[in-house]
Amino acid sequence: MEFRTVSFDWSPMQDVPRPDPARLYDLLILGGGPAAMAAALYGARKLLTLALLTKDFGGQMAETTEIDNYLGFQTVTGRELVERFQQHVSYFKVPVYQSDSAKDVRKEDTQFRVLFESGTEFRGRTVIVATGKRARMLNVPGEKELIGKGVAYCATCDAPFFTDKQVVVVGGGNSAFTAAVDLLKVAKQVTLINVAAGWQADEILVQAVRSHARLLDRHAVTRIMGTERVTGVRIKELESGRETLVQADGVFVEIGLIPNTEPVRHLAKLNQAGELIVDCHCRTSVAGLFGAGDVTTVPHKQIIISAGEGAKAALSAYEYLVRGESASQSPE
Amino acid sequence: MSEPVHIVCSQCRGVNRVPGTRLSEGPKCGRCHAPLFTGHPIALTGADFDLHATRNDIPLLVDFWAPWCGPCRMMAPAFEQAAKILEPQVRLAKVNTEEEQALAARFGIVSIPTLILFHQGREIGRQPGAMGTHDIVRWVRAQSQGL
Repeated sequence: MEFRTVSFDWSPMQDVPRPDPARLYDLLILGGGPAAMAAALYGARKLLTLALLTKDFGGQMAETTEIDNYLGFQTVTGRELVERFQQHVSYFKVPVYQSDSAKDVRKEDTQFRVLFESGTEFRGRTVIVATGKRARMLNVPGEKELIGKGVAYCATCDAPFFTDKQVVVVGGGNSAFTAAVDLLKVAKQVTLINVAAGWQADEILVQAVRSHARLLDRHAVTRIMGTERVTGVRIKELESGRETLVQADGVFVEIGLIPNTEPVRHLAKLNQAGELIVDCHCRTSVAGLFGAGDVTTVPHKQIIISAGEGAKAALSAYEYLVRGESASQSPE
Repeated sequence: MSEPVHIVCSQCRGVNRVPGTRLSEGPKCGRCHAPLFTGHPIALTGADFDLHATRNDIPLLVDFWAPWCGPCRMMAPAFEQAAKILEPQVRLAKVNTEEEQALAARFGIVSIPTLILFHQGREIGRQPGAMGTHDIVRWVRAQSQGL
């Protein structure tokens, strides 16, 4: 019998060097999505000493089934595109710290310190924040307790476990309808519940789902029911205030995203949505600190835009390193 | 740990008695002579899951995953790294839920990745969602305190 260790054919970044906490890097990049990886590529090509610090790779891309709007790829899975990005970055032997979340970014004189939950810290002359966004939670009773027991945030990952089951999708935008499309392939019944009036998704998605799913707008989920497993959701019709119970084996929460700006919330200016404010050079309110991708105020959250912003942030960081403070003007 | 501990060989499935004090000294299987620990997770199937879950005296950490799941694949290197840190105090293994649907159903897996920590056949902790190396190690150590 063969020795059956698990081999991972995708693992392009396993042999990359680990960053040295004792070293002062030209550039530290926080994040592992398209913005961060593009920044790493551009920074490496400028021969900056740099390190990529991330909890995981791919971000939202890793949870996307098919991507049809990334130039050069008519259709590609999110996973494959992440792997392509990783392979490209790994060519430059960029040191990678993949362990836990950055807790805090501090500026001391002309240096930045990036502190992690584990106690590890790295120092850099510049930092690019490309930490992306994460799924917004409903924050209703039962949700937290039933994560992994029927409450899910990734239809691509978990839809196959709900074959012939009843599921609820919470949300009314493209993410909710894309999840519904995935679930309709396997589930016995799909119910969409949206707190707002009408549906905010692209019409093409709404049409694809409308005749196959039950659609309830102007309804709020007030509680997720169940102890060991999800058994249903309690919903409230907003006009009448009447509450009813929808039986369900699974609840997919697709109500948008929140920016991962916690490490810089005390350092840099954020907008009301918590996004990192950047100017057209990806500069933040702090000299030497740059932002790129979905975590920032840049409109239109798209992979191709994030990759471009990552490239721009790295070039701006390079310019800052070469020209110093004069290359930096804080955005209002 | 000074008493002998039972360690199941990943290669021949033989059950070895290893002195606790020698667990960190690269023990080999008495039957097939393969290393009992390699610093890599092992793949488990329905055929050998129970043997590893019940006959190892050390905890068994299982990553339930699937090839279609992006976060699972993104977590894979972190899990690999965790194996290097946690072995030989913990055995790390992976179950492909696409191929091992009966095992996934048996443990009520409805979200992946999900980590389950077993000790002597009993589930002692469960954690859904992708994690980094540090978080995996910290979670396992917290769950296995006092074993």
